[in-house]
Amino acid sequence: MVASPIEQVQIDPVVALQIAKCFNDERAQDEDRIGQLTGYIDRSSNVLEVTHSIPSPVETEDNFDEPERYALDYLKYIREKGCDHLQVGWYTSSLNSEIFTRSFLNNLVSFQMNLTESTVIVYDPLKTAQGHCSFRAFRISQDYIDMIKYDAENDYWPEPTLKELRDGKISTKDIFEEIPVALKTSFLANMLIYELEDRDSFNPRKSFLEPATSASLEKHLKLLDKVVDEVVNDSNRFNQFQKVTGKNQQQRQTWMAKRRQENEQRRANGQDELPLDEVNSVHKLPEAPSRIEPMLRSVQMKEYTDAVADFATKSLGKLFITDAFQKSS
Amino acid sequence: MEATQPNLCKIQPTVLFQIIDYHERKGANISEKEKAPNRVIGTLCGSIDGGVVTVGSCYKVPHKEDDNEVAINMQFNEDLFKLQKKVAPNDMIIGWFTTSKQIDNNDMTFMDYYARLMSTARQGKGGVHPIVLMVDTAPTNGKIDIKVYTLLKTKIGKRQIEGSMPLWLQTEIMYSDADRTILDELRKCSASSSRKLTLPTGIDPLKSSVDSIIDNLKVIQEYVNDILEGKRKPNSIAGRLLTDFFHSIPHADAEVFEKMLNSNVNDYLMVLYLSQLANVELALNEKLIMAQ
Repeated sequence: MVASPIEQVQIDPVVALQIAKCFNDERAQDEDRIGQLTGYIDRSSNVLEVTHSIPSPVETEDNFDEPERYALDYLKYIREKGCDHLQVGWYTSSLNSEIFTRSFLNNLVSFQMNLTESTVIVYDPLKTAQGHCSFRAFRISQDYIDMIKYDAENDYWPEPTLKELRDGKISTKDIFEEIPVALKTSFLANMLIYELEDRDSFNPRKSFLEPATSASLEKHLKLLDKVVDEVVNDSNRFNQFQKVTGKNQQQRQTWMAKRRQENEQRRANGQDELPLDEVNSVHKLPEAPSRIEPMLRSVQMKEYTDAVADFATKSLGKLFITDAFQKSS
Repeated sequence: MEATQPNLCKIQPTVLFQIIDYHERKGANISEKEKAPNRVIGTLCGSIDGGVVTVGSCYKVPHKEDDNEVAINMQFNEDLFKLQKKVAPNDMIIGWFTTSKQIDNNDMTFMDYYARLMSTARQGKGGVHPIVLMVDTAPTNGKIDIKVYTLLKTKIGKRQIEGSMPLWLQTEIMYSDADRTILDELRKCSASSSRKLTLPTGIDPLKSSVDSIIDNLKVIQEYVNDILEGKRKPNSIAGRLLTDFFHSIPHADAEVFEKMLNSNVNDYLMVLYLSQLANVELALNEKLIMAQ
C-alpha cells in the first residue's frame, strides 16, 4: 500500500455516545464485548472518520458467533439508513487498562489485512465517568504486518519466530501505534448541544480532581504485580530455552563428529556409509517458546506502568495544589 | 404491563443525536427518480414503567410520503426490531419519532400502525399509548424543539364527538456520568471554528480543569469587589452561600497537614520510581533477547 498512513481518527458525536452507552454501568464488567465501526476514509487530509457504530448483542449460551452474524445482518440495513457501510474497525473497553491481549492482536490483524486503514478504538468507561473523556485509537505498525505471513483463506497466521523478529528489527514498542483522536460536530449537532445545555447544564462530574481516588491506583499496582511475575517467568523460560539449545547443539556436534569418524572408517573398509540425517531423530531440537505472548505481555506491562506514572504525577500535582491552598487559608 | 397514561418521558441523549444524524443523511440513499421525503420517521425503543416512559434507542425506517398517501416499510421495521432485541432484550417498541415541526394529517396513519404493533406485542393486556417524539430539525425558532406527545381519546363538544387530541408530555433528558463528560467535550468542540477538537492526553485535562476553576474564582472575586466598592447591590442569599462555601474548606492543623502531605508525596514518588524501574528492566530484557 503506497497510500500514506492515517494521521488522525475523527469520531462523530453519535458514535461517542453510542459507545459510552454500550459500556454503561450494567455492562461495564463484560470485558469481552466488542462492537464494529463503520465510517469513511478521507484521503485528502489522511483522516479516518468514524460515523456509525454497530452495537454488540448480548451473548447467550447458544450462540457464540452471534456478534459476527449480528454485524453482518445489521450491515444489510445500514445502506437504507444512509450511513457509511465501510467497516473501518471495532471498539472495545479497557477497564483498568487491560488492553493488549492475544485476541486483541488477532482481531486487529484480520481487520488490517482487509483494510489497511482500520483501527481499534479503546474506550475507558471508568475514566470517562470520572470526568476525563478517554477514547484512544490503535493500529498495528506496517513493519509488523509486512513481517507476518498471512493466510487470507483461513484467517490464520503463524506466529513469527525469534529469527524473523530479529531480522525485521521489531521490538515491543514497534508493534502497536497510537493515533490521536478528535471529535467533530456538525452545525445541527452544535445547536442540539446548546439546546440541551439550556435545559440542564451538563456539569460533568470532575471527580478526578479529588485527591483521594487511589482505588484505581491499587488495582493497577496489583495487575502490574501479576504481569511482572509473568514477564519474569517468560524470561526464565527463554533463558532455559537458550541453555537447552546450547547443550543440544553441543550434543549434535559430538554425535556428528562420531558419525563422520565412523563413516571414514567404513570408507576405508569399503562399507556403506551411514547417513548423517539421523542426528535429527536422535537429538531432537528443543521447541522454541512462542515470542508473541511475552511481547504482548511486555506491551501490556508498559501500559500499566504508564498508567501508574500518569496517575502518580497527577496526584502529586493535586497534592501541591492543596498544599498551596492550605498555606494561603 | 401498565395501561396508565404516560406523563413523563425520559430521553437518553444518544437518541437525539441519532435522530439529527439520520436527518442529515436523509438524502443519501435515494435514487434520482424518487424525491427525498421531507422528514425522517423511525421507531423508538425503550421501556414503560408506571407513568414514565424511557426512550433508550431508535432507528430510522424508510417511508414514502405524497400529499395523500403514506407508505412505510413494515418489513424493515420488524427486521430492525429483531436486531435491536438482540442487543437489549428488555427493550420494547414504545412509539415513533419524526423530524417535523407540526402534527400532520398523515401522522394518524402512523399512529394506528404503531398502536397495532404495540398491542400485538403486549397481546391485549391493556390500552397502548404510543408516544411520538418530535424533533424540529429545521430550526424555526432559532433552537431545536424537542416535544413528545401521546394521543388522548376524548369526547369533544356538546355532541360528545369522540376524537383524539395530543397530550404533551413533560420531557427530561437522562444523562449518565460518561454522557456528561462526552457532551462537555463536544461543547468545547462547538466553540472552536472548525468544530473539531483533538482529545487531550496526559496532564492537559487536569491543567484545563484547574484553569477553569481559577476563572470561576476570578468571577467571584470581581463580584465581591464590586459589592464592596458599591457598584452592585449586595445580595444576602449569595453572600451566605459564599461564606458557607469558604467555610467548608477543611482546615487542618499545619503540622498534621505537613506530615500527611509529605507521606503522600513520598508514596507517589516511590510508586513512580518503581514503575520507571520496571520499564527500564523491560527495555533491557528486550535488548538482550534481540541482540543474541
